Amino acid sequence: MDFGNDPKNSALDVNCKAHEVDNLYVVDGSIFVSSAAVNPAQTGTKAAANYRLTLSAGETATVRLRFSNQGCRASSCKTMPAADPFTAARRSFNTIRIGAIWRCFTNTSTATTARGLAPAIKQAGPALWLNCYNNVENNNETRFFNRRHPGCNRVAGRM
Amino acid sequence: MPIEEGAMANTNHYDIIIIGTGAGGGTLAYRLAPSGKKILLLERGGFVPREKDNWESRAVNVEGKYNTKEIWRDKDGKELHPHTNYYVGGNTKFYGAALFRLRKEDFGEIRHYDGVSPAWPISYEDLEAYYAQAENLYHVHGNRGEDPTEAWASGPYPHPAVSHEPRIQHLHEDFARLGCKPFHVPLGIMLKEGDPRSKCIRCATCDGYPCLVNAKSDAHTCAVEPALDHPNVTLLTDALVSRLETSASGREVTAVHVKRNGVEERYSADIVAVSAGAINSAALLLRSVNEKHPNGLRQ
Repeated sequence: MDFGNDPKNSALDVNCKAHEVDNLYVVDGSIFVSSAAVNPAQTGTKAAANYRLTLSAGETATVRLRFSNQGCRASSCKTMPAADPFTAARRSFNTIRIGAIWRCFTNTSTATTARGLAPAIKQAGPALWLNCYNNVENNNETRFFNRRHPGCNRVAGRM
Repeated sequence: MPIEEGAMANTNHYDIIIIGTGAGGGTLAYRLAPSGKKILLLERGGFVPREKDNWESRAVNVEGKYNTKEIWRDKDGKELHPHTNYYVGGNTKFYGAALFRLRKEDFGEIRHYDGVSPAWPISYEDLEAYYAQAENLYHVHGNRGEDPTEAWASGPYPHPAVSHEPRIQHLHEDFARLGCKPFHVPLGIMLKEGDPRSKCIRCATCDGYPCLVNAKSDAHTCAVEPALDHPNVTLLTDALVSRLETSASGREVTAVHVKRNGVEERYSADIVAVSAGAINSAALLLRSVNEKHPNGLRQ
């Protein structure tokens, strides 16, 4: 129910009054023309940890993340190319396995687009949250992922 | 003197009816209350009960005690359990108190992989003064200038940023050392650090939980309650608006149909503001179909 100047593509005028009804206003989030870069919207606030951890009942584990501009360069690691799980998911509509962090907070374990990941970054904690912000400015999609490489304990992330 | 039928009907007429008491409707009521206009606030829910469960993660997160039990359906008819709450103050009773301004760029056209995010009909500059007012009303704590993506502002935040927990402070410093620019999230809480009279006690809950000590800046605490101090403002709870009725021409809303405690009621106003939330405002207008508006009041 956007607001705008043209009744053809908006329900409300710039004062949030219905184009077609003289005494009807809408005053809430439904007037938003687009989502925002900031919480709780989607743009620039995307993160997914392409990292799966299976815990049995009562077990605990610590996940250590390292942020890096490149893929893993450890000599013991047959480097996986840095991939963008969002793009891949959009193309194939495959599901993305998302990380333990998100899993803790929601019952959803799959997402098909980055859009669905907005709550993840909100809940994933200030570390990820803050980090993602650093790339908001360029208005490109901020990409972040981390992946545990086989034979290597290092987690690589890219933004 | 016998009450005439017309006079009876008039008791249900207001200058302004506001449907919903959350961030939109509650704040609107706060702003309009001093005008002296006769204002009716309609809220489908009641007050969040103040009880120990407010801060119990089992009750709040596992049992979803305060969530609506409504089931919505997606476009394929699949069941959807909305994470939404019907109370005075709306979802702000449960938010994490993060009160960001939109970025300046959000108001313009932005190209994404998936398409174009259209421009708004107004700019950041049009809203800046109102952001400043809202940050005062909602006691926002933050440090202006820390966030490299924030737009210009006419003044500082009304309160200093909430200090980090020790671990977060550690991360903050580590990130800063790496050349990143971590910043304090602007938070709407009534915290006065170091002051034993602080309303906010910095408990271990907040995001997702109602505030047991009413120290979160939600629309109920900051806007609806002060609005109700004005004798011209009336709040009806458990009052669900079923539909809006228009005049024959379709140019004017002439009645607001309400189901209150199971009884159908009818109210009218010179101006009707729908503030039922992004989904429910649209739903209300869509179900208000009539001859002049076969697709609902949306168009």
